[in-house]
Amino acid sequence: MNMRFFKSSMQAVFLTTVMCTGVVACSDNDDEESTRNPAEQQVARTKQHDTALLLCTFGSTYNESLSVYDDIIDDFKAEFPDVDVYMSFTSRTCINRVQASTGIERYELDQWLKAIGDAGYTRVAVQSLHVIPGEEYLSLMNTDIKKYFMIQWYPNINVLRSANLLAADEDTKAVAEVLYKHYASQLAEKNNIVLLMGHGNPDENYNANHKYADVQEALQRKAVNKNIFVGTVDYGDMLFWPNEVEENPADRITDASIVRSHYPACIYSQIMQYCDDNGLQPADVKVYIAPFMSIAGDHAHNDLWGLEALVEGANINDVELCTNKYSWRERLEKIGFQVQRNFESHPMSQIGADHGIVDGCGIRALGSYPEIRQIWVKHLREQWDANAWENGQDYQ
Amino acid sequence: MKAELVVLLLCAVSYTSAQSIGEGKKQKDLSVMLDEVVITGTGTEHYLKNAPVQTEIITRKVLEQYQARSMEELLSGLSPSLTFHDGNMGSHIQLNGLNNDYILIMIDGKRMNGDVGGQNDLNLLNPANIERIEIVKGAASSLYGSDAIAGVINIITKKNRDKTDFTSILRVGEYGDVRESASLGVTVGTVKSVTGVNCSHTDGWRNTDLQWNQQQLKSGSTLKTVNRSSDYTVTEDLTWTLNGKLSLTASGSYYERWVARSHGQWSYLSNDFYYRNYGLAIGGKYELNGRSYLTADVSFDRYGYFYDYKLQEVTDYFKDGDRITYYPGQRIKQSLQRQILGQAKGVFYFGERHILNAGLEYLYNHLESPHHIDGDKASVYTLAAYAQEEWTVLEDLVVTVGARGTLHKETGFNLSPKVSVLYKMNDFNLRASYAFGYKSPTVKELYYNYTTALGGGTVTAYHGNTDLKAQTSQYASVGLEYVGNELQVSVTAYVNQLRNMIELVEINLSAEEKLDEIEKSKKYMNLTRARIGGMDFTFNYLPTKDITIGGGYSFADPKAQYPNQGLRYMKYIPIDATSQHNATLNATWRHSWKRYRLGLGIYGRYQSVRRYVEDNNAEAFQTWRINTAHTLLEMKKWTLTLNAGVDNVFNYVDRTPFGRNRATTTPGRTFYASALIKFKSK
Repeated sequence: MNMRFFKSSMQAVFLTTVMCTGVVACSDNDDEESTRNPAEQQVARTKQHDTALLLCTFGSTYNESLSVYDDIIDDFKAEFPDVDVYMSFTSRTCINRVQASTGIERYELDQWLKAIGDAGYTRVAVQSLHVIPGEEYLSLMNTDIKKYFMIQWYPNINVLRSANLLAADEDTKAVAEVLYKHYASQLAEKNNIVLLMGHGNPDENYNANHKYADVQEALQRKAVNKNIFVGTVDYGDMLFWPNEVEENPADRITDASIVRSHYPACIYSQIMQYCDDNGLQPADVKVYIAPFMSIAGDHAHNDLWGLEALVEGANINDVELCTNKYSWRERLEKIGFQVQRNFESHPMSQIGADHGIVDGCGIRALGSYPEIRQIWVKHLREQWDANAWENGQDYQ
Repeated sequence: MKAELVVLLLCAVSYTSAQSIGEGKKQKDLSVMLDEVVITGTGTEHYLKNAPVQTEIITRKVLEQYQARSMEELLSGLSPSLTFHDGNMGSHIQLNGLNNDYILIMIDGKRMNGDVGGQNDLNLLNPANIERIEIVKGAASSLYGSDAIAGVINIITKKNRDKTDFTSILRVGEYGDVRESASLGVTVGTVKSVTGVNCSHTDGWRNTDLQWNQQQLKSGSTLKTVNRSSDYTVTEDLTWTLNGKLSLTASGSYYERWVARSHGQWSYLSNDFYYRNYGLAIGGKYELNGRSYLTADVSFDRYGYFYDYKLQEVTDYFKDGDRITYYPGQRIKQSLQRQILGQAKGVFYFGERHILNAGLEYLYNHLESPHHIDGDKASVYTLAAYAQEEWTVLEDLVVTVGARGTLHKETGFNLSPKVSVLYKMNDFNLRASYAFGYKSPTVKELYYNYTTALGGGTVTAYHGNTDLKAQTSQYASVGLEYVGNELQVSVTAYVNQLRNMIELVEINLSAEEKLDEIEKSKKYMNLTRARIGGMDFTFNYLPTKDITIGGGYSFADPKAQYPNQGLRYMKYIPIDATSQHNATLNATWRHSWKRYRLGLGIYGRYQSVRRYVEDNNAEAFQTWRINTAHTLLEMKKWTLTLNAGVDNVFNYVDRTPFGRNRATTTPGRTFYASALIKFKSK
């Protein structure tokens, strides 16, 4: 073997070694996934008392929700000055979106509960901001609060669980009273209809959807013309149109007479029946629409008002009644009703705003009424006064 | 990691690409081009004009003249059959109506590792290091195995043949576009080294401030049409010639890329992207008697895809019962793809009439993707053997017959045969081929098991399927080529039929899923079919020694079945994001004075309406580019060329709002300049 061959061999080996070690030694500089709880910081900043109040709701990405949530928080602070108030969202999308756009920190239930539990609070009051005692409400109270927080995680912390908006019959009456007062002048005219859109619980097993029917009944008892209706955006029997959520177009019902004969509880059947009973044509009827939800978010803006179609100037002739692709407003207008576009609506000039507007939206949600907010506060006050605290050890 | 390295170091021998037989000829440009040696069609070296399988090439010279800002622009600007379109995860390549899933992209005959959403990352290629690009259309699974259904793109890198060889291309354009690509070849004794460095950056741009959001068209979008990004690649290739017979090779590459995403109203994007790849390969070539040789090589590649968080993000993932939150500043792994490829091959020349090409291949793919696969990791391997005979039946008739048997961990055995015929009549080449293609299911299609609500939508459970069969295709083509002194023209017609295409199909919810409040369940299944008929036309014309005109036209009518399409369920409809007519045209004029050569080039590209299954079609467009090249002559070892040009001369901009399908991302008319420096010492 000559020297030159040896030298070049050594060079090759050296270069290869350097190259291999260089490349293999590089790390990705990536990070371990962290379970550090961001709610802890917020709790550490906030904690002044021994009692925490956790307000629980699904959440919204809409700017209209901000002031309503602020009002709710203020109402509770006014009534319970000696507690620290936190608000939790169930929706992760809403948490991340709201924090990115406004810096406001909502977190998941488990994050708040662990942060609160670890921060040394001796008592936690949990207030549902749900409207009906449906799936979300029961899951909150039974699974998250009772099973996890009280029994598994912090059996020594005292917990007070306070009910949703429509808990007892008197709540139904109270809400109906507030709404009736608000719409009294419209309801006085036979050729006016008021339509309220609730969310509804898609799973019927929870037996909570009847609350909407109860409210409608209570309202119709007050309104002599019985011209106010409550429907849902997500529950079968009380949708605008039955089967409207079916993804397969073939499964949708297109025949209006079948809808009226087989699904008398859906909004379409109810309002058409109202017209028939009163000898009215849809074109003679003015319709006032509003959400029957705690805040005016995505459902109110899009599923109820159909703002996107307004922006686009969509052709009303294209609208189909049998699918939730079209909003209530569009379908009502397609039938011929005069939807009152200027009554408590989103300002047309700001229709393109990113997830709604902070000020100036006219859509009124349940949380926009101070009297209705006070019903939630009253629920907590009653539990508080009854000293209904309990803890995990009671269940051991 | 250590084990992988040991495997690499243990394996000793390798491969070398082929190309030297056409060197050193001084001929007219057309014959120079036709005397390029190609290897991809048969795995054996042939002059382009005699290649038994029709091969399209992009030579280094053309590549240097074109002065593209990116690999995408280069490929789509110079090949009419290749198009790129915008997708969720960046740019998506298509070849004759089929996407990256069905295109095998190779570097020196080795399949590229690493994809994001099925798209190979072409940014890691270094233009200064490319010798030529070979495109072979149609099924080529008989030689290359999985994915070679629409065709194969083989990027042949430079091999140093001189004592010192240096190339540097610096290109600067508007929107902060900078690219420096350099390649340095050095020969020391029996060792040849090629070092490549490639860095590029763009500030990106925004063609519209309109964005679809929640079914509403909003203004004031903060998204960008092309995001700000930076990347670099470093490569090193070593060849060690031990004696006249044996040479060994070793190579390594390292690549990083950062993509920044702007965010604000309508889109609060919580993270940027980061990509990282490295690869190592060793191998050898042993020359037997005559022109026969053996090669063997082993390579390891590792491609990582990460999210760089800039906003806090609460997740639905838990670790030890606690919820995971991503914090600004964190880099979180999305996927890591490891590939080990071992190849051994022999090319045997028996007399003047027979060439046998036979080989073995082992391929191992490992995917690590936290929260997306049961246990976060999964892998598959395939073992393959192939043989191909090129038989020169008569002086002017060559028949190539080959087949590959592949054994896949889950799908079992697959046989992909191919036969092609070349018949030469004076200046005409008549080619025909019939081939089976196949694509084995991906690791994700086999093992994905994941529940998520994408974009806050329906909670859906996704299921991989280990019972999947390979997707298969049958491809037939007939082509006629004329090769004259000044003109080369080829026309090829083809049909491609795909079966057992894998789709995500909705299935019934299990009782357990219902209990978990999952709303939909979907599973990968062999469900649909596709059929594509088309025609490709290319030409090169050199009327004088100063003028070159070339181009091509590609017609394709790709149709496939789609599930989940309501009334169109399983009907043959145009494949998503395909255009029927695509054409390229280039014309260059070069003239030399005593010490100076001027080159003027005009390049055009046309694409017809791109049809989409969902939402709007993207409009037809054409873009034109003018390049001027100024070369200083009479320097012995140096070549200096300055280019200045206008891209998209007629200022075509697609201002379709974000959230709808766009034809192209071009920012409109832009000016650029570049310097090409070459040094060669024999």
